[in-house]
Amino acid sequence: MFQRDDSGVSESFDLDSLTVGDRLRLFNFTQRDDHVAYLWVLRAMNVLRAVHQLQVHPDDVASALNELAAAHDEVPSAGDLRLRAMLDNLSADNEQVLYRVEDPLRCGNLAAYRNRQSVYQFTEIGYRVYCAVEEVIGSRVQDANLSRLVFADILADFKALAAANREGDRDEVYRKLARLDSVLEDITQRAARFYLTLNDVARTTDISPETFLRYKHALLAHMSEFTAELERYAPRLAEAVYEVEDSGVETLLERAAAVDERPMMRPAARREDWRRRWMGLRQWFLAEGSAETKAAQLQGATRTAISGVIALLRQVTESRRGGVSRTTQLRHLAAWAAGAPDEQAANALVSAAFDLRSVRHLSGAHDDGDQISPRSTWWDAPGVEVSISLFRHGKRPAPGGPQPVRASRGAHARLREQQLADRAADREAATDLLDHGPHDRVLNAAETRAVLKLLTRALQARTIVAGRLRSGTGSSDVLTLRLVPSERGSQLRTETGTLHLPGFTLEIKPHGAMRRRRTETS
Amino acid sequence: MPAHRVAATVEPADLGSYQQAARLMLLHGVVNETYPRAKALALVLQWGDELAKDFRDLFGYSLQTSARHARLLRRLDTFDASQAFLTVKSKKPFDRRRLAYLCLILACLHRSRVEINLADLVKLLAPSANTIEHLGFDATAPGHKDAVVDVVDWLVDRGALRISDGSMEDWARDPDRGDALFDIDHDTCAALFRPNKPLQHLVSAAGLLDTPTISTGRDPRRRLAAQRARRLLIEYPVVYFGDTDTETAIALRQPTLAEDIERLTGLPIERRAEGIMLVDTTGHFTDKRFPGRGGAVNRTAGLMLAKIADLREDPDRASSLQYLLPADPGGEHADLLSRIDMALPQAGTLEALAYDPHADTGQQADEADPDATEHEGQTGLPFVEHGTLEQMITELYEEFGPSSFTNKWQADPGGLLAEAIALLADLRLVHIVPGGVLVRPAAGRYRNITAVLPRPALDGQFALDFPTEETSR
Repeated sequence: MFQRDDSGVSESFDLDSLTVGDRLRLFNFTQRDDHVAYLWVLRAMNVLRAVHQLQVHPDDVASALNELAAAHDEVPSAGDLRLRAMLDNLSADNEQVLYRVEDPLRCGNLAAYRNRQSVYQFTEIGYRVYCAVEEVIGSRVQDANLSRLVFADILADFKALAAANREGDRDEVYRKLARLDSVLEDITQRAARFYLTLNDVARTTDISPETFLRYKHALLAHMSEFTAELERYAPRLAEAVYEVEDSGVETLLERAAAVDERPMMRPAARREDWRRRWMGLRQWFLAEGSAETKAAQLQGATRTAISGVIALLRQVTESRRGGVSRTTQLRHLAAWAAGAPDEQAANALVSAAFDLRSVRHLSGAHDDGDQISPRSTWWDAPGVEVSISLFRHGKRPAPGGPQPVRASRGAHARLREQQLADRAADREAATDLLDHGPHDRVLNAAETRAVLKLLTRALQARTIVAGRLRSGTGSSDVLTLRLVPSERGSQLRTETGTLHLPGFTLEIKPHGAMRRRRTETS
Repeated sequence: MPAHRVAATVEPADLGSYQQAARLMLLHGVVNETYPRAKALALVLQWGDELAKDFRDLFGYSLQTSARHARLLRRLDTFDASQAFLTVKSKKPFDRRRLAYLCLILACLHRSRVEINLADLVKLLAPSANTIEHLGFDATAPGHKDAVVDVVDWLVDRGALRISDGSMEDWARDPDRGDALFDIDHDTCAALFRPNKPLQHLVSAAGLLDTPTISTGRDPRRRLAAQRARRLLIEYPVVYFGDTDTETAIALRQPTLAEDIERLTGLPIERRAEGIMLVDTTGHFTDKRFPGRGGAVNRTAGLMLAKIADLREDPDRASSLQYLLPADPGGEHADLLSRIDMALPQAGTLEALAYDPHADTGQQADEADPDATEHEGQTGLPFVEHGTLEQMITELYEEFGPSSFTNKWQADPGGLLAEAIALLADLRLVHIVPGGVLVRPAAGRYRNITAVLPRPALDGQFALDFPTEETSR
């Protein structure tokens, strides 16, 4: 991991002294006009490096290029290139991909010495630049994967690490820790790469739906296996991390730092480096506070990716039907509709293409349509009833909107008081009536009203049985009035006149007494 | 053998619910959890199997249902220029820009995951719009943003998008500040766009139409004619025998046809000498209501029919009416088709897979019975000149007062007339021809409106101008 030390103390013997700007300048060759030729020169250099020919002469480069040209078509011919100038450019002061070293061989004569040529060699950082460029150029989708098999190794390594720490085996501690570190970095890299690749696929799937379909099962299986494995191992790995911590993290780091073979680093820096790495490892499997573990994050990412792939699958399968995708169909239709000569044609086209339309019907039916002959014409048959106000005023008759609620509490209260007073008067009159009887006295207005009300009820309640009228009763909450059949009939004298009741007399009893009597007699 | 072919297994008590579901499906085409209203999907799913069977048997349509949506896939016999996608708020038909944006936005949504915001959507839309000549998207150009808002509104209304944050109005006002976030319902998006053939395989829009497999046998032809008749009856306001070929006209006259459709929709059929129609007694089984809510256009259309009826029944003027033969409907359809095909983007077509309907039709014409394509004898229709129509609308404005035609049309009788006539043409009550209109027979249904019109008083003053006269009646 690339990290600058801010302390100002020069670390690692000042070999890392190139600033970011300098390092970026190393990539200058990719910006030159004939960048492909430069790349091939570097490839030739790499071929030579692979056979441990570290310092090379331009002639060697030329022959290596010729060899490459035999295998690849696009290699520029060495004769066309100003090879020497290119190599010099690459080893210029501000580029430094290559070192230029004077040829150490003895020349023997002056002419040869004047003609003496340089030999070139990759600088360490220059080689990395070359590798980085190659990696970018050569990266392929096929390589992207998540490795599920690695979890078992990690678990074993953690266990071994704890054991080694307990036993004090410094070399083993170092080896295991270093390996864990690199494995986890590898997982992170792979995952990042895998998901990025998936995104790329999702963005550009129109070009290769067949490929995607061919691999969809493998892809989905791969991802679901990975999550399953991760889920299975996560608790055990967390346990293993605790186990390592129990064996003493500080000692562990001391031991690892002590064995660390990086000579260009001070011991304290080395220990700090290992501490950082250990924290990184720990965060992978143990949650700190509210933050999720990296393992959980990876699992979440995988789950999202699976749903993404399914979404992609939906698009791709749709495009497979008929060989054209929905997207391109829609674009085609958009261009078609946009170019239509008039709006009606455009609408007719789009509604037909979407297969969306609506039914349309006229309303206004005859109440008795069967009466009209189907052979008559529309002009002869009666016209339909239409709403008059619709055409006279442009409005359809409507019940109107809801009216506001009028709450007039004062009026309600006054009415209620009035009602209570009336009820009390009625009740009083009924009680008087009960005390004194209806006949043989003059009834006052209130009593008359009470009697008449009950009389109405009683008369309405009478039933005719076998042609004879039977008695009826009418009752209020205070008293019950009964019509008793009588030959003489009776009279009610009131303040305003006399009411004759032929055929019956009135009998008044407290409310409920009548029914009680009936039940007693039966 | 069940008593009815349609809704054979439906109990009489449930028939109302079944018919409601059938009407919903025919009216909307797409039904999901929110569109057209909350309980609609449950109703349709309840009758899913029966409806699918009946739609297939009667019309050859297929009904596809899932737990989240129901979609009726029609098979079209003809293009219909009067069908249009309408904006949600103002109910105006989409223009070409909106139609193209609708397609492009659906294409963008298709490539998105579960969510998208308006800014991103536009970012995806702009490049694809810019590749189309005369379309393009420019946030600063007038109308472009409104078109996007209308299209997205339409999608939100159909339940394809659900707004979860922000608002489109904010975005339209200031795209830098305002934005809106949508959840995408991919099921509905997929259900909305269902062409019956891959569009790139078409060298003519005619490929989108239902072309029956060529058969010379009498029975299959009769069956197809019956199917065509049922489709005409269910889709269009009025079917005139004169517009169809002989076989379809025979099928339209069959009593079983009316019986089946009545049982499916629960609506009555009206038969007359000139044609047949399904009468919408619910007031909802149509995309254009007539006589409907008192919109100015709708009302004017009705009043115009009354004026025309007056003209036709007035003994003095009726004799001066010209009777003309309407244009052949086949020819009009061919004209529409050629206008559509004019715009066909050749670049995107896959010629190799292309389907050429002309090859088929040529063959069909050779093999078919000569009398099969013969049209019913068309009768002359009364021709009302444009000048007369203008005179009528002027009279209406005088009689009712311009203010009764709403603010929008107060000063524009010509525009209102054009809209009203277009509505009547869409309803198949008149036929627009150069220089005027031909009045089609079903317009006679609405001549009663005459009775409610005020008669001009003898002194030249009009009844409704004076409220006192109104009360004295």
